[in-house]
Amino acid sequence: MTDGPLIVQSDRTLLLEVDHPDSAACRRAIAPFAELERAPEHVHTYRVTPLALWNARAAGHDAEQVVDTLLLYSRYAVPHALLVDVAETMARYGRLRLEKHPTHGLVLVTTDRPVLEEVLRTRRVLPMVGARVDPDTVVVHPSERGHLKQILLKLGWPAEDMAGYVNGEAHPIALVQDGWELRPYQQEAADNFFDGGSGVVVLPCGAGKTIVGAAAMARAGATTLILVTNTVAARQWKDELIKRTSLAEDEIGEYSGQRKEIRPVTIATYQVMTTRRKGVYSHLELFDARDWGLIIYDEVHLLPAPIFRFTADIQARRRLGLTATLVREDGREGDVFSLIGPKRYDAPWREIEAQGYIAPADCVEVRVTLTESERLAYALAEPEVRYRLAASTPAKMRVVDELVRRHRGTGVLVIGQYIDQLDELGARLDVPVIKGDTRVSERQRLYEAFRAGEVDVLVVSKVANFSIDLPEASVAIQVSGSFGSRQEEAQRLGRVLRPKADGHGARFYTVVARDTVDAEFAAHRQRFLAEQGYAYTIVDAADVLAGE
Amino acid sequence: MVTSLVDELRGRDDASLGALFRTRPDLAAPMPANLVDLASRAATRGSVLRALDGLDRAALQTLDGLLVLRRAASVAELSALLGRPPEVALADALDRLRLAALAWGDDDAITCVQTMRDVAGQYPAGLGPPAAALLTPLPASVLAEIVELLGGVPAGDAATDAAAAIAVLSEPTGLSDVINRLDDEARELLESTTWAAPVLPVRDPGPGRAYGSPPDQPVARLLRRGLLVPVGGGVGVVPFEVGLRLRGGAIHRDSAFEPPELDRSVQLAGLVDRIGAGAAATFVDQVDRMLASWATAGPQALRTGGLSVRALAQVAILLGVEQQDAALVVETAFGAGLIGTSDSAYPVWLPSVEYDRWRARPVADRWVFLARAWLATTRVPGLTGTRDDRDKRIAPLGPEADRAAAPVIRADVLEVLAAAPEGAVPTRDSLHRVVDWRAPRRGGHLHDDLIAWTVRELPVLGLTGMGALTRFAAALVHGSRLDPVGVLAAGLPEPVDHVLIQADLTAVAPGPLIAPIAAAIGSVAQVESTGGATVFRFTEASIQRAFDAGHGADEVHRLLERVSRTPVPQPLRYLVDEIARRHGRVRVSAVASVIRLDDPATGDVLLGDARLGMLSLRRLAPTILGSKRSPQSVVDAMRDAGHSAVAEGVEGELLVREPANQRAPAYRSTRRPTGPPLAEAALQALVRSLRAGERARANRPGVGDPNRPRLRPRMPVETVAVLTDTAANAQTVWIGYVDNNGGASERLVDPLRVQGGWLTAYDHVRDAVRTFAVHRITGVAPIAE
Repeated sequence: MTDGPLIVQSDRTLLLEVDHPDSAACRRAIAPFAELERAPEHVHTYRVTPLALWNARAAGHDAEQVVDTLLLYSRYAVPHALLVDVAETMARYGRLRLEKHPTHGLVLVTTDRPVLEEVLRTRRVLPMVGARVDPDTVVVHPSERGHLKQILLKLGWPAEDMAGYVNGEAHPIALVQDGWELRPYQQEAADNFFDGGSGVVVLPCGAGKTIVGAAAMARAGATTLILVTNTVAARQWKDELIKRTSLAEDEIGEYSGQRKEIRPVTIATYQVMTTRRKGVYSHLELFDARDWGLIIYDEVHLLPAPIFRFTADIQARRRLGLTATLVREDGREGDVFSLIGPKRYDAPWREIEAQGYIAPADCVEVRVTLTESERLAYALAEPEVRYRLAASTPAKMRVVDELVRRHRGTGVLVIGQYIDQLDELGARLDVPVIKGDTRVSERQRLYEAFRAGEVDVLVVSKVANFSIDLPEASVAIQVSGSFGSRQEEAQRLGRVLRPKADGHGARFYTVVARDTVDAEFAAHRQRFLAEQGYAYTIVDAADVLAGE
Repeated sequence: MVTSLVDELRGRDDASLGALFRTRPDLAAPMPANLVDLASRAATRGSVLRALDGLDRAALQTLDGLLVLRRAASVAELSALLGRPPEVALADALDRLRLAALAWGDDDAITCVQTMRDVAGQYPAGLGPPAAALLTPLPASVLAEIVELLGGVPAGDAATDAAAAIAVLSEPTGLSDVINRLDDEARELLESTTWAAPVLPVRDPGPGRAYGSPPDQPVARLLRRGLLVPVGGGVGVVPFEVGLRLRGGAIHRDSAFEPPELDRSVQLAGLVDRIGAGAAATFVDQVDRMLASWATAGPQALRTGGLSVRALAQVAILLGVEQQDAALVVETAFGAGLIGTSDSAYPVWLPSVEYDRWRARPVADRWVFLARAWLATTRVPGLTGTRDDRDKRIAPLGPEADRAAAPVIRADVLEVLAAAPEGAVPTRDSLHRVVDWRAPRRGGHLHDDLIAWTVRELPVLGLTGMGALTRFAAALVHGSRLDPVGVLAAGLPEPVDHVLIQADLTAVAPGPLIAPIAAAIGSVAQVESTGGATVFRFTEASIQRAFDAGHGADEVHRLLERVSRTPVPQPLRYLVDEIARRHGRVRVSAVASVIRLDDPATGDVLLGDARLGMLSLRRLAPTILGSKRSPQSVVDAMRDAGHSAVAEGVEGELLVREPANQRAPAYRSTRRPTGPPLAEAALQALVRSLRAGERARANRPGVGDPNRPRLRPRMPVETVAVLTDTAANAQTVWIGYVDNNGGASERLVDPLRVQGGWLTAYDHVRDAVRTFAVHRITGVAPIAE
């Protein structure tokens, strides 16, 4: 019986005891093949999934290492079935390889002939391949490179893509490190990505994913297409690239609803890429508009389905995915793996937080009690409108008043879902409101003012959810949100996690109505945040108002 | 010279007779009266088939050798037929056959029991009858042609020609020449029978014609040379000698006299035990959880007695395992007698009374109990979900999932593993081969499946770890001196008495929890993940359940403080308080009758009336009272006390919230597994009784036998005198006796005492002490010494 920090459960989860002296070493050893699921204060939960094992294979680990790691750190017996399964699953990766053949072009090569026979016998693979070159090699139509990888993954025989990449049109890009430095983990992430060819870098919000992107561009030294979630994010990428690299403003184009510039570095939004005219994705040709040497996908976990489809056709180009989480709510993690690439770098939030690069956050849930008439109205309401009723109760106003009063001057964001509620809050607090119909220039002006400290409180709708940078926001107050989505939660938390100039911790308040569906969503949120390892407390509105 | 099986049995010593019963336990039940009885029992078809199932490949090949000759064979002949196996190996195989009373005779004339020939079918080992048997009945003209084509000169006389043809076919070189001289077509046709049945289709000859097959066909060329002989029914048979020559002189393609060996790698025994102990603890936990869930909500039994697909799927989900493993858990619990069906009209599967005893024991004890049950049970979890002969799905716990061979194969697998050095990890294939060699016929068409299922189940039960037999599993194997409980207990993790509660509302028990803490935390949280550790999750529902079970908020807080090694997170404390606040906002209670009043004052009167105390009246509202008594008894009591009350429509019944914690009688397998080792004492008794029976038979001289003792009638006084005498000298006598029904019989007895007109004596044949009425004894004679 060893006294290791790890307990291997029969459902393939790994429990890591954080306070154990060996826990840091163990964490590093298991991170390549296990996905962190929960990281509360005492025991972290990792899960060993086939994708995680294949990621490990792609990163050069073998089954023996995985098994040895489990046996070395495990406190109790490791279930035999798990060990067998690890070996079997890992052995499946790389039996099939996509390679470039000197005369036949793209080919599928196997080291295990029966596997090739098996996959060639499936109805879906057959149309994608051509002639058999030799018993172990079959020609693949170049246009099917991505689709074939998707299907092989579904068949449980993920192919290793060794067919290489086109260099694309060269374009010199260099990092300009004046007054800032690439952090060690950013350097490592960019290097791991580039050496691996294509793949995904997982970094928490606020850890400087844009800079990893810039570093990757510098390594590629080629024209780059960057896909981001929305226009604000596009502008921020542009600003950041001008600031951090040798690129000049006229080298960077924006391809969005408003502007259609195609330049050596082009930043496009998911929205414009997926706009359909008469049933056709008219903007997808942007992928072919230049001989791109690198394609960067920001927020990979939000990548929409049509982009996946198109990405399948550009497998010869280097692809970098950036994200805070590999968990997709639509369950398409497998497509990210086969189309963008395996995970190339991963660092947990807490570790980067411990290094002082992102601010620790305190999460507080404030529970307000509905009045009796509100309770009656709520009880009698149709299910569809119940959430709105509960979320926009006037009782929340007083709590927000008090919280804003308390934190005034430190940069406060009030975030909500319902426009009338936000308008009312804006009027009540006498502060600007940013919502969907606020013009982009006006938004940027307000953000700038907020950053400069001229405006210390902003009320924002969900437009603020994605990819905006509010460095001075140290307090966020959430009054309503769309149904407890984990992604939304991660994004909102990201808003207040940026490093603060004064080194102070951030506060994340959520105001919820007790005994309603609002509180149920709050329970999801609490679980998610606690699983991420954030301190979480619940207080009564009365206590807040009483000034405690 | 041994001429029959009975002779052979007579020649055996006690040890050898005991060994026979050990290898063929079915012969011992019911007990044979004497050796003739035993010999005939040993030759019955059923018993022979059972004995064959227990033979290894070497013995089976030897038996083939005995069968193909269709006569007694010498060891030298056998050795040639079997491809000259090592002498020792062949002698051993013959000994095994002789010991099992399947063959007898000295080394120059070994015979197998006749039944064996019937069992083996027409063509044992795929070889036809000898040429002599086939050719002799042929007409002279046909024989003449055969002799001619075989290169001889026909004599024209059937007997001489037959002898000449047989001589050619029996001589290997000559026969090879004949075969080699055949044209390709005919030779290929003949060779097609080499490893298949020795038959080819032929056309039956018409009247007056030698052959039915047209002469230009290759089959005719075989027929005309006696390489194929028509036996009617459109079939021609290749004579034994020809078949043997086609096979190159030996009847088997691969000699199986060398037992296969395990291909194996080695694991550290410590690691093996650790992994195995982990699996063992998990298995015990799975059985426990399955039974605990059935105790409150047992699944309905199918009409045929099994468990429905849905119920099995639920077990699989509950335990978080595959259906196959769920079936293993269910069937092992069943085999161990831990579950049974309730006695109701719609039977439900429930834990049995045995479960409570089992649950109270330590983990290692419980595992050994389950492992022994698995080894002994005839239940076959692997059959679950497969189809039976009538293409019906076999349900777990159903009567179809029962195979007598299963425990024997499990014992075989375990013995093979135990025979390998400690920590040896055999490859799956080689393990299968070795087990298969030991008894290739066992289990019939399920033979391979039964081995494969057994091998698959080993790691799940914790009998193997990392593929090698654990030391505690080795201790289970027959004859081991180790105590499996002790070995296993040493490898099980230390139980812990605390959990770590976290802000995400989970509690992690970093090891197996001691029972009271497990029960305590289980009452407020639900299990989310199991294994070395247990993860519990607190939810509104789970805490609500604690309140329902009568815990108060303070109690829950105290419980959490007590079991948690870390501070209880604020959100959890808040959650408990929130639920406590909501708990009981709406109350539901049970009353049998409701009493409505016109004014509150009447209520005060009723509540104050001592005579109504037994109604246990309770005020529900100012003008409404409730009582636990039925409306009729309330009305009666009120009237008796002088209050006028009227029954108002009878309704309302007590709600019983506590689910009945039910138990069923223990399962007792009605099926008798083959091969339970007979106790040494029982074997000795058996042999002693046989010997007695044998003496009885030998001493029952036939009519006209000069040695026949005369059981002449004597005066009772004389009879008593003789009996008393023999009792004193501990002699054995032969008595004639008329029983209650007037049936006359002759008994061989050792008189013990004579008293009050009764003889008490040991009856040899019935192997018991009996009493005989002296006046019914028709004669006494001492046995001839």
